[in-house]
Amino acid sequence: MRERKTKAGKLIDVEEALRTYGDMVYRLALVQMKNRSEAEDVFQEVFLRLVRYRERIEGEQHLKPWLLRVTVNCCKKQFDNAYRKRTVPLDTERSGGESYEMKLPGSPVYDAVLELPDDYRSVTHLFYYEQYSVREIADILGLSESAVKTRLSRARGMLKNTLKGEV
Amino acid sequence: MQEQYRQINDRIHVSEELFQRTREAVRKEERRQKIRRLRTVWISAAAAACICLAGLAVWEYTGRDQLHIETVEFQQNEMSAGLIFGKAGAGSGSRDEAIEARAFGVKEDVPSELWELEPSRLERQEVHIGRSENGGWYACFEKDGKFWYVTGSEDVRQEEFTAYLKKIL
Repeated sequence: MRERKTKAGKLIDVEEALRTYGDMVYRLALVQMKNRSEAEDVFQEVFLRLVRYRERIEGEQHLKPWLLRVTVNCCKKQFDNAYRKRTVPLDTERSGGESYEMKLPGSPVYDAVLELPDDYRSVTHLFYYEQYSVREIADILGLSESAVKTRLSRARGMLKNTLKGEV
Repeated sequence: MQEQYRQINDRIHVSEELFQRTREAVRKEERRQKIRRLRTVWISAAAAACICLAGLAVWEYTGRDQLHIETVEFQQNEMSAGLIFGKAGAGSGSRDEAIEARAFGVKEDVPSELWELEPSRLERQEVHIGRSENGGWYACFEKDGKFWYVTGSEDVRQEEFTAYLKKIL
């Protein structure tokens, strides 16, 4: 797309990244935001940030963890947004009272994950779906390994309770 | 549980509408970034050009000819020593019809009163220029280790005298 290059070589092609990692970003955003509309906002924001900061990304192998980290950060930012705290999402009104959240895939396991606290959801998703190791998750989220282990252990406990022994 | 969670997530995909919308937003942002970069380059270039122009202006200003022509009175002994008009002494130089120039190896061979005059600047070089009461022109300057003494008769115009000085400076 552009000729300029990073230190590591070719500059990241954002459209290519959108095609390759779009689903991954969207899944994580969805599990974090629990709301399609806000997950879509996060999704767009992540790829706009990629346009702005792609020169800092040192090659393709750095891209995937960068996208996951930025997705989690964008979700946190969205959560911290005072607007969100004070108002009702427009989609709720548009759909005549039916929340956009209701269109999320319905499954006891998925719902149980969505019920976990914010910090536990990202760790659980990265571990169980993206198959990252504790150490890799710690690197991506900027946490200590013990913090990741603790969150995973507590999340497992909560899921166990919710799913009554299915874990 | 893990398998179920995987299966559900595998079914989640970015909608075509969201993909297209995001791709359009990405393209817009890329255009914006490009414009921003170009603007930065232009601003930098304009700033550099301004600095160069300012430097050039300072260079031009400091290099401009500045004339300070004062009346000079010579002491009698110098007159009698034959130094005035450069017609005597060990100097060598060029001769014009109404203007004469001589170069000396020693500063003292040029009347000291001339060196005391406020210096003018011609061609970025210091020149001491004076006029006698009867309108004669006198100038002295140092160049390449030699001390030049230039005189002009009273019928010489200022422009002619300075043009001559510029020629030999």
